[in-house]
Amino acid sequence: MLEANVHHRQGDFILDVDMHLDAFGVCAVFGPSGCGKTTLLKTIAGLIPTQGRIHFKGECWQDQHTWVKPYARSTGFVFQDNRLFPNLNVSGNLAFARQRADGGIDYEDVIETLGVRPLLNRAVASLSGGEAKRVAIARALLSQPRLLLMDEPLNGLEQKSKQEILGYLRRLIRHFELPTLYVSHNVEEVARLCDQMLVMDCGRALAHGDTATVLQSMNQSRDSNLDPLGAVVYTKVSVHRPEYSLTQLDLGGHSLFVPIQSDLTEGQTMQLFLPARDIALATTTPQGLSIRNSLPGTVERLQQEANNRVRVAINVAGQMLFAQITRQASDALNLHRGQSVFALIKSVALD
Amino acid sequence: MTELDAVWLTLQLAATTTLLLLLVGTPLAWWIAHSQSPIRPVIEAVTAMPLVMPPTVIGFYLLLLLSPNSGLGEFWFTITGTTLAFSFSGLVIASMLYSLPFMVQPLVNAFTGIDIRLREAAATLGATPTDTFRTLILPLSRRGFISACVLTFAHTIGEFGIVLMVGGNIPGETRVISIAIYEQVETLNYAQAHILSGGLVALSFAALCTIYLTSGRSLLRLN
Repeated sequence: MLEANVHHRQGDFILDVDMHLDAFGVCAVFGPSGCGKTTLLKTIAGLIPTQGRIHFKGECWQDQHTWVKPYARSTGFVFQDNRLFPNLNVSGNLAFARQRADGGIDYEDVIETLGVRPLLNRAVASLSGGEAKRVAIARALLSQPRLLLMDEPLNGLEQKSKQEILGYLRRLIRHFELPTLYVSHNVEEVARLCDQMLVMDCGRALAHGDTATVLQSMNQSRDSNLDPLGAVVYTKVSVHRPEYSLTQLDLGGHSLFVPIQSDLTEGQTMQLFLPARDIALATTTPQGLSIRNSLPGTVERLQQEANNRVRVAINVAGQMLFAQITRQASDALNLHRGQSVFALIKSVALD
Repeated sequence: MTELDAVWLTLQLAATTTLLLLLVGTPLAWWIAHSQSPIRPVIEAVTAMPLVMPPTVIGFYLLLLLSPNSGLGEFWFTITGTTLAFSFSGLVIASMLYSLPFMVQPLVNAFTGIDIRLREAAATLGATPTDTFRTLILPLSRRGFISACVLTFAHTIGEFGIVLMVGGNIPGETRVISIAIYEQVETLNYAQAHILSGGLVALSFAALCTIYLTSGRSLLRLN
């Protein structure tokens, strides 16, 4: 669906990416800062003239003979710095996009989904970080893109806005079903939002596939830059417990409690990132603990790491979790392959 | 009364010059603000020359250029049957050259002050470069356009040396306020000179107030 084979030199930095993404919902472009994620996005939008070939859904955006101008490529770009026009208010910014596009994305639907109706008459300068981000996303959607490009939309937001925007993003991804490239260097974000991921480093695309698989293989990589130190799991929302501000999730018949996710309805899938550092192991049924999340599983693999640490891969109802423990703990518990353990999850939060 | 004619002629000259310079100066300023060309500094220097040259020097060369013996003067004579030197049209050309930096420099400042990232955003929203210029660049550089037009207008009203060299003192054709003041003083007619001079002082003050008032407000709004 999206094919890009692009080459671009910018001083010492060389972007050299050859990627073929088939049907995707949200594909993360993941990698450390300075690895060329934003440059790749701008290249696809036509904001940086590069050599190479870009095709989207059978449409040629550039090759040896063609160069489709950025305004004629049907991409919507959510910039890291929002780039709202200061001479227009919020509704003026939205109208700018709306007047220049025709398509199936409904105006009312967009402002409702992103909650920008109360902001319409506000001046751009008066918006908070989270509000400006929502307006920027709404504006990009109203340009009727066929491909949405988001550059680190949660970057630079405070913790509370992050959670809020995350909820909006999840909602819009489900609601509009737009193919989206989502640039991020935060693995938890990627694990929560993206069904596929493209891993980049030093201007090159290293791996591509569905999020859980790529993250699993990255746990075995020796490159500390790219080590996600954790795993993504897929759960279903069982029930909300507003009296405790918690949502109960189901992971293969086991319960998991997370801070309340009111944008999700019961039965919906929730992707979750479980950091290896936040998982402790027990060999017997734990009792009398304040930690409420305890998942039974079997040890699949033990991997020695630097500083006398061991990474343990645990199979819980068919899904892989990783725990990072000390070698001393591993020896004391006499951990071995095939052993039954309980994974104790200290916290499930995005930071 | 001839002095009213001089005032009217001066206003006509300033308005025509400002309008024509707006048309010429806007693309030139845009080019200077965004060109990567190696000759850009040279073009910038040429544009700024009228700031440092004595008006008599500019006037002298212009007189040669506009005379029917030169290529331009001859061409003009063939198509219009009139000479450029000592005519209103000649004055307009002279004023445009003389006031060029007053139009171009505020516009260059305004254009370079607009973040290129906003233009990129406009492009991803489907706006062509012309569309972006009209709907984004123009409103964002409103303050620069006001400064440029007011400065050009005021500066043209006050010119003397060049007018004297290429226009002379023909009532209704080239006799502008500054020339009239000079003549009144020469003939010791101080009362008339006072009226005209006082008028120019008031006009200049009003022009500069316009600039600083509008820029003040824009600054408040942008922050």
